[in-house]
Amino acid sequence: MEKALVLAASAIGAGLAMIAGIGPGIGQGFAVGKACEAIGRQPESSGAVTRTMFIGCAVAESTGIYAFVVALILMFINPFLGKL
Amino acid sequence: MLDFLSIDVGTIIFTLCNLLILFLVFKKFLFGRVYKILDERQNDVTETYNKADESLEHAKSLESEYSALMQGAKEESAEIIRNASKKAQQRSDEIISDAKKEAGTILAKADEDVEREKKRAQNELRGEISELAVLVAQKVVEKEINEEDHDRFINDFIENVGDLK
Amino acid sequence: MKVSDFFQGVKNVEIGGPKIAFSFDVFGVKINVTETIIISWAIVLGLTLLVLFLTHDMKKKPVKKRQVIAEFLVETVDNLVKNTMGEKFKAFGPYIAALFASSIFGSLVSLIGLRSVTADFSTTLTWALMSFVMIETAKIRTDGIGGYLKSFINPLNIISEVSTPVSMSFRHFGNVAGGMIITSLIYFALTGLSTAIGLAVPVFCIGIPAVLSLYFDLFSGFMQAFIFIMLTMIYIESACSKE
Repeated sequence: MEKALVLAASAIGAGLAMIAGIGPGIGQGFAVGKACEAIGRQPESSGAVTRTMFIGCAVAESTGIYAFVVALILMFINPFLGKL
Repeated sequence: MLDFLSIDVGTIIFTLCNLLILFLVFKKFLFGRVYKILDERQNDVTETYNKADESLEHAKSLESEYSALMQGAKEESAEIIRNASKKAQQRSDEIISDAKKEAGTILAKADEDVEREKKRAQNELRGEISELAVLVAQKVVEKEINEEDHDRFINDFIENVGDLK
Repeated sequence: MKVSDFFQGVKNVEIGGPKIAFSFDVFGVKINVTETIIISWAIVLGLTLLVLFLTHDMKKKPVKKRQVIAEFLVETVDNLVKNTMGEKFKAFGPYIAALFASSIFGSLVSLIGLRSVTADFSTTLTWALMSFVMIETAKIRTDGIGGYLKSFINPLNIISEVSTPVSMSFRHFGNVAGGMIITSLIYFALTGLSTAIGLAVPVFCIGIPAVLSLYFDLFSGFMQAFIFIMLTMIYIESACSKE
């Protein structure tokens, strides 16, 4: 019974953790939109803009990745089962 | 098996060693060697440029030398021409002056000749006239005239004749 | 993915750390030699041989293709370092190249069925700590020890300093490990799909995961390696320049 409860709570926690995926989604959307604007304005510098955008996107993605790691740990490693 | 999210001391140490080894390998064998080659190439290029500069310099100096030589030659030729024309001028002047001098001498000689001829003719004339006078006197006067008067008389006559000239 | 998995399908998702090949004690400390270490040894060995092959017998006039490749690699790294950090940080080139090479090959070994080196948190933590030490050294050399310690009067600075290696290591690890887990989940799901419609051999596992691995292994591995070295360079450069 307790195990089931912990597992259910872990699954819910993992799901909640992945709400953090909203942040990088919005951020990357903004970044890509601005990059498109910049390329539209200055098509000759598209290479530099794209490179910078990718780096920025990857950095912005890190919060989402943290959430993802937390969710994975909760789902597959179940650290709280050992605490029972 | 280790945990999914685990920090393992052995892995950290070995990874550090691996990174350092890879760093040293890259530094020594990739970057070091390539830099060496690039440096050599750079040196070669610099050397080539220096050589080109040098030869350009050399060509320039040669050119200036030749142009100086040419200038000298031109000057020399001008000098020669000037000298030659001067000499020719001198020579022609000389010739002309010679000719003039000769002409002068010839003229003087001719004058002299004329003078002498004239004198001779005068003398001749004088002789003839004196003879003639003596003859005339003998014939016309037929009287004794002493020698002295005779001579004086003739000389007066000649004097008068001489004044006529 | 193992060969047996290919024929039987993945029946069970097991997500764990790297397997321990053997372990020994040094002064009472247990040192584990894991899968990660053996693979990274192989990577170092392979890269060393590659470098020796590429730079073997170099001529002033490049006659061999491999010399051109070696020069191209060196010049690319040089230009990247110069453009990001400036001319005076040229000496960082080999370190950046070593970091990038071990990172990208550590991620790409998953293409041949091995466990990614970078899917082990210890590896990325080591690299991040290495960069962290360099950044702090640069700061101390720029500000002097007094100035360096003075910057910690504001305790928030301690958090921002510590968060640098943590975020760098977690970002790289999370991306690669997440990709690995998603790949195994996809294998699991495709096996389940195959058995659900009654196929003995999981045919769905043939083509579909390859497309996804193109993103998770190739693109993500390359991006994360690039971001790792870019962040290292930018942090060191900004630590060296006084405000």
